[in-house]
Amino acid sequence: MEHRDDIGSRLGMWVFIFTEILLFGGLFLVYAVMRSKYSPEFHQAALHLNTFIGALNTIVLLISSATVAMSVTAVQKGNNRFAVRFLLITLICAVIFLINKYFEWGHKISIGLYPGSDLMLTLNHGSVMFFSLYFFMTGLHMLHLIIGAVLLMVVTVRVQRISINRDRYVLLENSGLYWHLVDLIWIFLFPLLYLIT
Amino acid sequence: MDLFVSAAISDYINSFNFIQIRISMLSEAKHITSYRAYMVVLITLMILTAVTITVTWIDLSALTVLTALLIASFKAGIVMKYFMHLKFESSLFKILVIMVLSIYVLVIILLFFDYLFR
Repeated sequence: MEHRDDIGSRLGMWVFIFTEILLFGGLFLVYAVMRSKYSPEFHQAALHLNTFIGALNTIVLLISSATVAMSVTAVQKGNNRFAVRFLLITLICAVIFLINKYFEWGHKISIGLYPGSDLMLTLNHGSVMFFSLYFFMTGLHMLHLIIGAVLLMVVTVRVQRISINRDRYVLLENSGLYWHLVDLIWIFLFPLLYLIT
Repeated sequence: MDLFVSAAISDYINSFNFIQIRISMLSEAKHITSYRAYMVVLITLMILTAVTITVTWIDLSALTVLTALLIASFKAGIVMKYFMHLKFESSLFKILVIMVLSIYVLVIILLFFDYLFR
């Protein structure tokens, strides 16, 4: 009989998630200090962000999180076909998120708002801090989202091939945990960046 | 005598059944959350998102950020409890999460003590 430790496996994933929380936590600390220092500038700069796209991406991520959670339920019930469908919905949500981000960032870059641009040099220090934090935090979040999506693609194939099944599905659970972390970070990014006008 | 033996045998069989029940309970210790429960959680999270957006439209000045953060923390709590299965994990997981979050809150407090009173 092979040796397996699913609880230990999940515990390891949680420890990794803690390091991720502290990584983003550090950035939120920078945000908090800069915001208390440049409150009016932050309010002014946040007007440039599109609340509608932000809200849409929030909903998309919430749905994707729910479908990952449901795919775990489906695998636990032995229904791999359902699980694959749920995972595909999640991946579609990830693509929708990235398309929205493409238009959002694309618009800002086209009007010359990006770190190190000529326009940024003319802005006051508070606005520069806001946009730098905006690009860095949403960029790092997007990187996590892409990694999570790649991970879920691998998982989807393995669920399809039944190498992830009702008896062993810890890889699906751990990838799900990573995906929920992506959702978790966005839950804080959205109000702090988009809704402070 | 005959009766006694048959009673002893049935006792023995019963105890065996009891062990079997215990074993099957152990293997089913994992909790399966229903699709419906996840739908309820999802709808709750969406309503809270709508509330966050509406609240920031109303100008509460300094309270706006605080309300938005409180709602966000509440949403994060729901995600961790249900989506991340923390509710059904052993207390070790819960203790670790509480410890990490406490350390982070402590760092925030220390930072602002330094920053605001320097």
